[in-house]
Amino acid sequence: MKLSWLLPVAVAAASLEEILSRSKGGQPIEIFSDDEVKTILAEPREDTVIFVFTALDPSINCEPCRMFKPTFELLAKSWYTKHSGGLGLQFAFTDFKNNRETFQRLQILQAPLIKIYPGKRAAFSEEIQYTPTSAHMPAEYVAKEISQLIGIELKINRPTDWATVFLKLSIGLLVLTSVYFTARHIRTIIFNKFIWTIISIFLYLTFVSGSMFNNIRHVPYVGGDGHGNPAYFANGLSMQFAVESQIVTLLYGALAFAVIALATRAATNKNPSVQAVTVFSWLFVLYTVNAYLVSVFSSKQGGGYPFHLPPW
Amino acid sequence: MEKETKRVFDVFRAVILLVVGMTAIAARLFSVVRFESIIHEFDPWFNFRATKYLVANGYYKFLNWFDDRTWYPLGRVTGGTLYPGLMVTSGLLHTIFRWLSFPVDIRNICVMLAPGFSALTAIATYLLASEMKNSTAGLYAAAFMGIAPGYISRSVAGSYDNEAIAIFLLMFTFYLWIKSVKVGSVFYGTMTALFYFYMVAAWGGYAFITNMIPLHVFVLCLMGRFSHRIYIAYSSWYALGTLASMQIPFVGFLPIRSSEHMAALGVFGLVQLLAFGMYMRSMISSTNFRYLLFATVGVILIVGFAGIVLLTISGVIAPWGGRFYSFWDTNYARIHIPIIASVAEHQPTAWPMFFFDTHMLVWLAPAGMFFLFSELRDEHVFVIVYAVLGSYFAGVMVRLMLTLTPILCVAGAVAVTTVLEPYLNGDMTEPARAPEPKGSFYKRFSRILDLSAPRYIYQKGIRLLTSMVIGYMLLHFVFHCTWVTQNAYSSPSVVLASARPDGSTFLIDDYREAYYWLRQNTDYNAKVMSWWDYGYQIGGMADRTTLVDNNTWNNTHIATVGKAMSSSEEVAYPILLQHDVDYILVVFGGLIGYSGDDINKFLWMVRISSGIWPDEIQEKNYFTPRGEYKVDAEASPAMRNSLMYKMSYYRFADLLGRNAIDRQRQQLIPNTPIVLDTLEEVFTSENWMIRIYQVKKPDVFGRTPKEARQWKSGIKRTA
Repeated sequence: MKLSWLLPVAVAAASLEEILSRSKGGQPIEIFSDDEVKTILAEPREDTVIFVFTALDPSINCEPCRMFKPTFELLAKSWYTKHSGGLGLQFAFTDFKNNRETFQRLQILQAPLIKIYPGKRAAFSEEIQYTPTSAHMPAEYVAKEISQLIGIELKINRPTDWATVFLKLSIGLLVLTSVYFTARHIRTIIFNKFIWTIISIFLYLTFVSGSMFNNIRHVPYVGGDGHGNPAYFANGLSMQFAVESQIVTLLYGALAFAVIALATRAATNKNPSVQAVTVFSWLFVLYTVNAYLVSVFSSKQGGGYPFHLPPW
Repeated sequence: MEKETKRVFDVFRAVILLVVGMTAIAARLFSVVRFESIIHEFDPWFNFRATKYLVANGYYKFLNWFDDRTWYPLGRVTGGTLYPGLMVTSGLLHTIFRWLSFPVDIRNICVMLAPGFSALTAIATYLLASEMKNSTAGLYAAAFMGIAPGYISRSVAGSYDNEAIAIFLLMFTFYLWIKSVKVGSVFYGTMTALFYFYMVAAWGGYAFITNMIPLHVFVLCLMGRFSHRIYIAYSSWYALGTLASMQIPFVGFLPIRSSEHMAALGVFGLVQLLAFGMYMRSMISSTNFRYLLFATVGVILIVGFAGIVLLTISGVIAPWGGRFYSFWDTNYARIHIPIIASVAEHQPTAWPMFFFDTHMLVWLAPAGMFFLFSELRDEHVFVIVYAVLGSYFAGVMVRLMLTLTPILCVAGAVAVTTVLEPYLNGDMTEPARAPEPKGSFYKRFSRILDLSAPRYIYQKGIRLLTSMVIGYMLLHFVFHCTWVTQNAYSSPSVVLASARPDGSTFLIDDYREAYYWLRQNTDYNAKVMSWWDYGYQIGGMADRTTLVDNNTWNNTHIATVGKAMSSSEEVAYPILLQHDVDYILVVFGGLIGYSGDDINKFLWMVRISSGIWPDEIQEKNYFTPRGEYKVDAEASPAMRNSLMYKMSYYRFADLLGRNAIDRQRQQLIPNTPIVLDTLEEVFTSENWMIRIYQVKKPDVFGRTPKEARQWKSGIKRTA
């Protein structure tokens, strides 16, 4: 990109080969201008082109675009690694930020949008428009749907994620070494009630604050309000952000801990005035956090919830 | 004196339990008060119809029931493919009432069954929680169980489904199990097996018990708490319960073949070995015992592993079912079974749904778990394991909130009771105290959260304040539960309610209007085609033969109906004739803006039928070239020629003229008249929600339907 102001002529006249060579390394071909779009789509076309019109710039706040990006990259990578140079099928995309003319010329009003342009040997003759049923569908599913549309079988090869493998291996090693060095104490750890209490309650709290929802739906970590400010709570009872469920875990934990403290620490205190202060502060925590939780729930309900605890 | 106080407390307890039971019933009657005594939704209509068959024909005929009025022309072996517990329960109640000379209609028994059993569930929860702590905790748990929305969602009056009795059976079986672990008697083990059998007869969710009890025993064994009590309780439950469960025709040999039951079998083997080991240890020297131990464990591991692999390969043990597998690998369903992933009940649960269904119980429960941990008797392990496992399952699948709610009530009750004990204690004498513990930091730290130290609150004001704050939060819980019940869970969905501009209620009763029209105006043997959602209701309310219904066992047959709905008249007519279809029923929400109509479900019909006929039906043909799902002038030709579109919008433009706007989709319907060659409109309900068409008979002169229609309307036939 840095060369573009040095060699403007060369860039403007990027030939088809140059554009197609961008697929080296298995990425989808990125298109930077309307002229390039015209070049790659020029009739007669050799190759079928799967073209994604997307808007990844944060200012546009297109969540589905961002969610679809890794899926599309995986599709392209799986194809290009088996078919060097494309062999009749190319994966291309253009971003609204770099290339407004194409969006205007083709009157594209939504993103992400996939258009499939037939090549010379394609089984279909008209361009096909395809919108994924839902942006968080797994790549396998998208591949199956596109395969049906174009009559070429796309297969997904998920690359081995060496980072994860390495992480898992090192965690395993860590566990093994710690077992080796603490072997004398391992019995006390395994049979320690307190450790198991913490583990059980922690597992319970993460499950009820929707961690499985986050794992299955791949929800974003935080949302936005459209003006660049982060939003920590999503709208609606069946939606949440990942940070939201972490906040809720903390709130639940605080409430449960307040109850435990009221029953144990506060009640066994031997000094009447210290006890009064302790009970009072834990009651304050219990009441305030609960009131805040109810207000968060109420705002997620969208106004239909009739109850609130003062001061909210 | 002591004895008398006890008697007074017993009376109090009984009265409170009675009030809790009555509240539980009353909270579930919103739907009857608002609407009427009516069976709700879809599946309950099938259960109701089956119950009527049972009452009319007796038990043996019921077990052998082959229903030729559904899945026409295939029929369904209904008696062998259902869980009979629910129908038998209401049939039995009906007989008892008759015998007592109370002439109760079977419909009223079916409507009131779920609220009645919810009172019993409250009592079962009382018993279970009493075993965990004391009867005060039991009363709290019963009260929570009576009003917790997570359980009310499946047990309002009219929701005549298997869960109506199953949750009571679940709680009572668990109570008996806890009792048998505590006592270690064959009697309680047998009672557990008996109620387990009832549960198997009533609900497919019995697998939860089948895995929960072995897990409890397994965890106890890992903790080194294996004892003769556990051996007796588990062996008697497993042996009798498994044999009993195999008596249900629908279950049959599953308990020894399917992988969902393997955990119970494995633990059964384990307790036998442990008991044998205990016996041997008392007989031989410890060195010899060690050799014996290693040898046995080695042999068993190898033989057992090889056996399981062999049996799985040879197909004797069923491979892991897709639904079961999707619990563990949550991506499995999304990649391989989109149809499972699409069902609303199988969606994962976001945190607001937990709070919506259980409110403060969701954060009281971990405190309860903590208090149980500090004592940790055998039965406490059960609650903890159940809570962690139940919360995982409820997080993966929203409908399993139902199995999580009871244990939250128990754990929450333990928490409330434990925390309120010192604050509500009327005794103002200060207890004797042990000296402050000394020792390592860790030791002192763990004493901070210890319950065994004497607890005493010095100031009355502090006692009062704490009780008031917690009481206020409990009161808020009651308000929340009532509000959720009446707003979210009390709609029959057969009759819909909306508000007029002046605020008064407007009841939309189109479903019943149409079903009764069918019942009174069509031949008893007429075949009605509709999308599968309405199959049970047509069978139950209109008593007419249907092609497909909510028991979606045959995908191809559903796809056939989908194909007929999504094809043009020329293609659909032969299909209709082949299946002897007399009437077609469609649900249309365009006039009053009802979102659950057939046009909104239409893409599923297209998708399912294109799964069987990918060459003839393609999803993309039903979208505009710009990829939009439209019904106005821009709608694609396939869309506009489809039977579903034509039946939905037939004469729609005549009604509203040039302003024919579909209020559900906010699109203008073109006023070019829709012409039907093979169908004839026979009925349209008051708000146009249900439209029924009659299929024309083949022309006697052998003309095509189009020619016959043209000739009739005076357009001359061109050669």
